Amino acid sequence: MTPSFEAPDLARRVEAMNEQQRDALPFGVIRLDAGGVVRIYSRTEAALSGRKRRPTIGLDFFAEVAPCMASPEMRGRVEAAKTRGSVDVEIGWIGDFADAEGEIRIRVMSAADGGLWLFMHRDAA
Amino acid sequence: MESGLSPPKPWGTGARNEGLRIDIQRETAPGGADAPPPAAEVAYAAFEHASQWRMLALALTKASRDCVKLVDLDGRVVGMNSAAQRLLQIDDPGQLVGRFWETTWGEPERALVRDSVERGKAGQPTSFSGFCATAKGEPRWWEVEVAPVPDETGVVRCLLCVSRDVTALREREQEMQGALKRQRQALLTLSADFDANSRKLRDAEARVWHDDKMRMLGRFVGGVVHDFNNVFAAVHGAARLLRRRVTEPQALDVVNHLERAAERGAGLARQLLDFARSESESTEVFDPAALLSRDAHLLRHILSGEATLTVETAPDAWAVLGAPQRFQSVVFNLVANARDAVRANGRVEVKLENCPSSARPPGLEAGDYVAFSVADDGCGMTPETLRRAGEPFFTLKPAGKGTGLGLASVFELAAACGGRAFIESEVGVGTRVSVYLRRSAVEGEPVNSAGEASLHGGAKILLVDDDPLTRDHLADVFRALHYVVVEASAYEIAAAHAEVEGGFDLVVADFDLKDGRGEALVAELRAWSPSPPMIFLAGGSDAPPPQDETVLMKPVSETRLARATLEKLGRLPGAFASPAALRAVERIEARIQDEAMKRAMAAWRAHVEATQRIPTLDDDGPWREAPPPLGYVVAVVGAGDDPELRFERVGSELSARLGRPLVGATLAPGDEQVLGDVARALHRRLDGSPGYRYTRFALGDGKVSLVERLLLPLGDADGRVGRLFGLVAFNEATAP
Repeated sequence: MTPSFEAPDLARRVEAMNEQQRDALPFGVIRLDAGGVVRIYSRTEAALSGRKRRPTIGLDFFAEVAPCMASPEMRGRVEAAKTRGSVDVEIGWIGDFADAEGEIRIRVMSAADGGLWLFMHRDAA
Repeated sequence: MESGLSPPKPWGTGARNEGLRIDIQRETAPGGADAPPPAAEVAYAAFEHASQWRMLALALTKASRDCVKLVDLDGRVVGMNSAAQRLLQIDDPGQLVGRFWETTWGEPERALVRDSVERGKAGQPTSFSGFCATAKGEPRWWEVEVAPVPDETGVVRCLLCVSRDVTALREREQEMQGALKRQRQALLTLSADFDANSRKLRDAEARVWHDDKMRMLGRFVGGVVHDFNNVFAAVHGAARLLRRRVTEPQALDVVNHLERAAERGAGLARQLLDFARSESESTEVFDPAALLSRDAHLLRHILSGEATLTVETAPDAWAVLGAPQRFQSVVFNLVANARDAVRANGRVEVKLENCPSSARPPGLEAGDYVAFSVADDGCGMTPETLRRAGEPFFTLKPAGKGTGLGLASVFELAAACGGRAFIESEVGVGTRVSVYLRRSAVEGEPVNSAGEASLHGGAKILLVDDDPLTRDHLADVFRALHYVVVEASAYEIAAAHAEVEGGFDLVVADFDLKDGRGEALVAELRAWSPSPPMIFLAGGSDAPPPQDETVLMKPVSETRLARATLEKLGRLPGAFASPAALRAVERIEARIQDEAMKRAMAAWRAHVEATQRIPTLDDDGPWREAPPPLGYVVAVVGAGDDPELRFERVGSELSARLGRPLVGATLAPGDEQVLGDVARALHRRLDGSPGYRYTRFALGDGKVSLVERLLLPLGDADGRVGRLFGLVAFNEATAP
């Protein structure tokens, strides 16, 4: 069964999925390794964020994929949470991007290997 | 290359080129042998040597601005002038020289070229026009003259081909033709509209003529009916006096009779008065339920205790656009009819309720209606009577009891209000008359623009609506605000007006056109150059209203329309909360957890919904008082796209958390260092929409922390976003 974006054990359930299953999720999935490098970039995320191909494997996420989120606040929050190992941080914005009424939610959860899962949910207007 | 003519072989070696001279003579002197020699001939006569002729030919060719080429008898280009190189956009003459001329043209023109070459070889000059792109692929239209060039013995040696670039001319011509075509179409459409209106006028004239008899009667009745009323009042008064003094049963019976007759006479007088008055009635938005409730006790009086009357009105009944006096008159007539039909213990029911489009009876156009009915359990009508019911002056009542105008006026009312009337009747069971009146597309609230009156007027508005009643009413509203209004009843007519008149400052259009072409109209309006500001009225059909446009849902209040007009004309910048902003509010309200924040959002929303404007600092809300501990107010300083944002008030706890005073500090866009992404978020609010962000931390330490931030734009006196109100909330809960 497809886990919902709000599921408490979302990271664990996505971890158990294969690429095809991850690509079929209604929200985007990104996995950063312990060094902050993108290792997984789901098709939904590529489609929703406007990147058609998957050229981002191996790129620094904040610097090259989503520079608009590279605030010290955001970086610091993610870094501090990573060291704890059991991170579950959810950030939501309404009306803070070009789409005045759209909503973006991001959930950051610890991955089993010390990296992070990022789940991106978009509600367009 | 500055080349002149570069012939591969000489063609004019004789001392005098008689052939050329004769040619020119033929062309320029058709006057006959006696005519004086033309100037050209005199000039040519000065050249005695072939070399001079060659120089003249070279000079002429070089001076020509046309594309001049020499083509040999095989059809190959053997030379050209510098203009040819330029016009054909050829870098190297080798691209053309040596090629078959025909092959430089496109397929459709090749036969023409071939023919010209053949005829030229036979000594016949020709011309044609055709299309041929330049070497660089630019489209060009050419007028081509092909002239044979004979030697001194008269044998054609080669062909002189002169092509003139007529592209600009042709484009202008096509443009003109296109414009003419559009104008002609527009005029045809307008004249068809005019014809339709003339026909309507003729029909109306015919109707007026037909109704003249009734109106004459109306005027006559109106004149004398007051006197009758006085007579009836006197009779009624006398009857009441007599009742007090008479005790004898038989005499009492007579008095009762007298009293009833006087009442009936007064009722009849009223009916006739209503009819007579119908000439001066005005069309307005009215609340039929309110009128009915107000008149209920008068209706009971009509029944005079002969039958029971129930009046039932839906409390949320919609408004109707029409003549309220006529509505009242129709109700009285129907109740009077019912009274005459029922027996002593009969029942008359008057009912008024909303009839949404989905529940409307067959035969009515799509749309919402207000349905009112008068039903009785009286004698009913035979099918024959039912067929004739509604004809003016048709009545089955005894002479003196009815005018035959009652049902006719019911049908008239229904038609005038864009609806219909239905009669069901069965002998011995009763009659029900149901009248469906179209729900008004406009709310009755009059324009309340005391402070804005001076901002209105001085603009030309194109009003598109296929419902004549609504269109007339809206046109009146705009004209009262001193606008110039051009009305169009259909998509084509709107387009035609735009073509012929152009220059509209605003288009107000009904999106639910009955021909289903609302979307085509939107597309057409968007294609206009420049595209005018637009306001759409929608809500009467299932079609989704146009995105990214100002859409006012029906019924639209006149105040709202007037304000939207000012907004669209750019006279109230930023005053309006956009539909997108209101949708954002819904999303934000679904997410907010903090109670104080919920209240702030609700106060902002309530103000916007009540006034269509964003609140100012002085309007009711948590921004009005000293800011809450975690609240702040930012002033927008300066105009333009990139104003400065300056902290004006900052709550105590917020200052404490930041560890420094913020009041007076300014923020620039992209100033991410000061407060994270708040600078960008604040700048986003300048469009009048609210913004919200939350961060929920569940870090495996048994607690869930929630940080929320709400930013609300506030208006200033000019209706611009002048301030921003921010609220931060920190809440913590035990992890589940």
